Amino acid sequence: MRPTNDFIRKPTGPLMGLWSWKYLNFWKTIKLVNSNRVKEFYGRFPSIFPPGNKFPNFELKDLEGASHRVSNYFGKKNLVVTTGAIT
Amino acid sequence: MPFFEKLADKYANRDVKVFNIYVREPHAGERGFLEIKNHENFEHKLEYAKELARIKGMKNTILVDGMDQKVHEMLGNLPTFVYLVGKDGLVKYKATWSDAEYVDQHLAELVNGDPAFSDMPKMEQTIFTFSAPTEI
Repeated sequence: MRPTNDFIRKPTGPLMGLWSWKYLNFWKTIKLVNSNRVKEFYGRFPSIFPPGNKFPNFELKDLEGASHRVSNYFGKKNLVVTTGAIT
Repeated sequence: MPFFEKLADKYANRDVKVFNIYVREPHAGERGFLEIKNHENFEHKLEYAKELARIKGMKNTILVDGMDQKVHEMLGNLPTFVYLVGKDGLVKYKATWSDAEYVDQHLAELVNGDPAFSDMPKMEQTIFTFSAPTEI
């Protein structure tokens, strides 16, 4: 069982990560992952809303323009909240 | 089908809602994404969020963060984090990388312990495997 406050490094994926050469700028990626800014983000992430703490309430719109307030789901649904992007 | 869509399907009758927050494009303009630009305004961002849903066949609810990235920053500002939140509103699991397999471990435990589903079969962990990004 994984720890509840999980620190997972980005997996390299197939071919020891070589698949990413087709999609990404190698040097930009190396520079980014080694930047102090990114290290700081990863360093403080475990202390942001750690397990056992209340998840923050926020409201965002979906693709159809309907508003979703997180707190409206409390007491009714378990929530999985993740991010997404084309790239 | 993306792993989190599979996860939502698996838990469809276990009171689980998956939100995918569309944040920013971390690799805009890079080799495989030359035509993808950084967001110019919210309409542009919304257009890309719709494109994301189309390309990857996403059925889960996609929420679009504002141009100020307020929600993304509040939740940690990493490109691929994940939070699992119980019905009580408390964080049950969080990770720097959104691996559906690991979320599944904790989600199974959460719903298996929910009295509302005591007469239903216990959920077991599914093995998901990594795949490279979809061609665009």
